[in-house]
Amino acid sequence: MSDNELIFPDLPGIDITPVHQGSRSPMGANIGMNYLGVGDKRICTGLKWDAALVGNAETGVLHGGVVTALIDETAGGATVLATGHKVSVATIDLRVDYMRPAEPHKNLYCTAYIYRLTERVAFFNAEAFHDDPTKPIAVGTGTFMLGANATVPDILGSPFKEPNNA
Amino acid sequence: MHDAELVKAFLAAIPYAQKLGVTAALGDDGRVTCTMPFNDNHIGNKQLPALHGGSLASFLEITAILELARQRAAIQQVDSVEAAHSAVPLPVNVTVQYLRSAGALPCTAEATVLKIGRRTSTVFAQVWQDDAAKPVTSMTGVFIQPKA
Repeated sequence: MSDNELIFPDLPGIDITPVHQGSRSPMGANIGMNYLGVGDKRICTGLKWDAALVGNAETGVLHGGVVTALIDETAGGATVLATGHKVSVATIDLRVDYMRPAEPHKNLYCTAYIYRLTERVAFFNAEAFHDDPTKPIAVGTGTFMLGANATVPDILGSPFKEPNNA
Repeated sequence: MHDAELVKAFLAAIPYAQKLGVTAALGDDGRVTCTMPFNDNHIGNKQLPALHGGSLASFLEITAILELARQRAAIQQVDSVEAAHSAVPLPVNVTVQYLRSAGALPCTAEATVLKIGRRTSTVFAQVWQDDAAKPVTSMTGVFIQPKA
């Protein structure tokens, strides 16, 4: 097990079941995103620190775009989950606030929650963090369009696999 | 350093930009024009196919950073690759609007610096594919300079 192995983060007060599944989208896989937990309208994901994802070679800190991509992918997964894997989703807009500098050589985790689901739009909030979910690196909020096209959602496998080492 | 060399130095300082295959050139007006080739790894929806929102947001953030860095370099007198590495702007927040589905095509992006402030700078950027009049995604971001 390498030093930067992804772990299921401790999320106090949040009812979420550990899962272990790679991203189903090519870009999610490209940044190394994995699904780590599933709850009610809620998803937890993580990605390993990688030198190719760095925003400044001098500092070794992950690029802001990686954080945004992780939040988008995680929130998309939560939207598909919240709609019961029935409809395709597409991001309408999102805002990401970078709360504190990311730390070099550290894995990044993300939770996204669908706080309002309507017939056509899902509203999410999300947080990205290293070790401590109460100290987010970035928070994101945004909306997804539901039934954006005729494709079948393939963001999550359904049903989820149990963790390999459970 | 000339702007073209500067932008090259800033781009070289961003490993993630290389992973995405982003290249940068200066347009007729002197502003940075970035391109990102189509790559299967950038797809979000395999069935359409459509580019992932994260690849588009990342591309826009890189474009905004490069154009802001170019304009700031004149003020800060960034004159070496090392100095460029220490002057890459940091995002405070970004707001991204997805206007159209982005297909399996190369992307081009340009950024406009709305305001360079002493503390923060605000940049607008948009990306298009085959028709510059039909942007697929736009972004407004606020950036700060790293501490010296």
